[in-house]
Amino acid sequence: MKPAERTIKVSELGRVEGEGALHVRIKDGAVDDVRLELYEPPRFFESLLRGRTFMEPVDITARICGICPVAYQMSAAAAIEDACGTVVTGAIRDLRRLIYCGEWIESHALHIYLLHAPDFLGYDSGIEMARDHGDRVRAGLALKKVGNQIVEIVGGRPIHPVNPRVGGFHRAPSKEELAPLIEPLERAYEIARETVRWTAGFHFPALAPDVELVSLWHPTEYPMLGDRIVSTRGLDIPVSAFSDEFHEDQSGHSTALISRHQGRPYLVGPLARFALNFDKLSADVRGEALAAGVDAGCRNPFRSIVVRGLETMEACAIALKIVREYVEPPAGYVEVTPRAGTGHGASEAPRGILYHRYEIDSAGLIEHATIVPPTSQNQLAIEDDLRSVVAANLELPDDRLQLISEQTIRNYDPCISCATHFLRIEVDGK
Amino acid sequence: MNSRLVVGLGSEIRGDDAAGLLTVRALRKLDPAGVDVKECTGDAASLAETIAQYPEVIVVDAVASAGPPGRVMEIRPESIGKHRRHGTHDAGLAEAIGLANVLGANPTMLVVGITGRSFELGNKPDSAVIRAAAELAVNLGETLECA
Repeated sequence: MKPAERTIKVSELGRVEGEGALHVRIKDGAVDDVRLELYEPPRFFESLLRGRTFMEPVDITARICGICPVAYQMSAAAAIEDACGTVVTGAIRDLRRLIYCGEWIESHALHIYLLHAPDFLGYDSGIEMARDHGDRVRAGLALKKVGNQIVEIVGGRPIHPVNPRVGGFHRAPSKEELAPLIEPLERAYEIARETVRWTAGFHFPALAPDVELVSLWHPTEYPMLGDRIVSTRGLDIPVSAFSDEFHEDQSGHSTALISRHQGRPYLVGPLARFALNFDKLSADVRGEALAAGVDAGCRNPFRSIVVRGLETMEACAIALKIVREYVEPPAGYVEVTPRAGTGHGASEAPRGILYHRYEIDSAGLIEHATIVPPTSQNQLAIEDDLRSVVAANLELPDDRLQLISEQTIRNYDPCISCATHFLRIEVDGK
Repeated sequence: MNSRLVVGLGSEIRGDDAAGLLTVRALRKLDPAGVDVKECTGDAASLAETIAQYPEVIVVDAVASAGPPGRVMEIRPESIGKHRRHGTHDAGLAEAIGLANVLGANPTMLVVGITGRSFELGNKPDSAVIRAAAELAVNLGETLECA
């Protein structure tokens, strides 16, 4: 006899590298309550930036995340440059896209091979999976290594790169320094292709949430950097209008801010980018996508593992093109002169839009900072997915329900995902 | 590439957690022959791949301990606790060693810990930790030169 009330608790999650919890209550055969509880104390980075100079957010905010520091650096630089009326173009902008490719490749490879694939293949961890699928994991690590190489060569070191700055880079690499990336990137492209074909064969639980997808948009590029934000419900705004459309608030069960678009959940990240920018992918990647059974209409978050593989292919292709065509600029950066004003910047972190807004005074001191990371934007969509998945699988035993709940969270590769493995299911036999 | 690796782990913005990094930076200045010296700031997958490339590996890391900061201790690799139960983004040394082993690499491992007291964001390393890292670097340099 089934209990009248069951409670699923994920006891440790986190906003970025911290802690949080998931609580799901099932009552009388229906999902009664789903809450993603982020109880990590706020990290106060926004407050910490007040009074700092306009040159500092690029280095300081990179420390928010060890997985996507480049995203923080690029969004911070874009916002500061916007406030100061500077536009970075040409080879320096290409270098920004190149280092971003590195971050996408390493982040996606890590997630696909060590975090998400074990869910589909029935392993507790990437290490367990490696016992039976050593060659796959080796390939994934090789893929990740190429991403690290890019970040190291362009950024000075593979984690928390030190070369990016407001206006560009402290030093632009020479063409000779970038050339050793070509052969590894060619190999990585084929590994990514094989990743797509491998993951396309997984079993994907049915799920198609009716949620608004939101991403950056660029007229000619699959977006890492971009000035406009678009959505599947017709939104098309400049990044500077972000805070007019998207609002954060704090719910009672979380110390993290939760973002809504006009009061509703929305989703950022690979699925959103893919749906809204499918036409910007290379013909080869589009072909692989269609062969893998995903196109711009894909809404199943479980298939995000395939989309990450496709984005990894695209990132390798973009990086190869940039490296091959690179001409070293006369200087690594353009001078940015501070002026009083407000600047907005956004870029596409591996997990989705990362928005920064800074108010600076005429001396270049920061008066106010706002940072909206992807995970806080996806939080409500994750809760909605969990509600749907649990409701559709109420007949499963506790351990299976626990597993599919964890998998649902990991579809979004949230920076909280590390701790989701601590999921415990508790059944109250009331 | 040499056959021996000394890798220092840690975060330089978390107080005593920088112990491993301080050690290998000091060791690098001594330029011991036949040894590669690297830093790792928290990516277990990359650490696993790095470890797997060398037959002999010395890892230097900070250790949280109730004792005074700056003590140097040898740690058996198999005794290291896992950072997360199934480590992913935030995996630790145990997961890195485990992954390297599963992938077929079984280097001779020596793990050296330096005890720390404070690992808070923004703190500077304790003077005892800085001193211990410098002394350990000298000892490692001399030992590796003789080996």
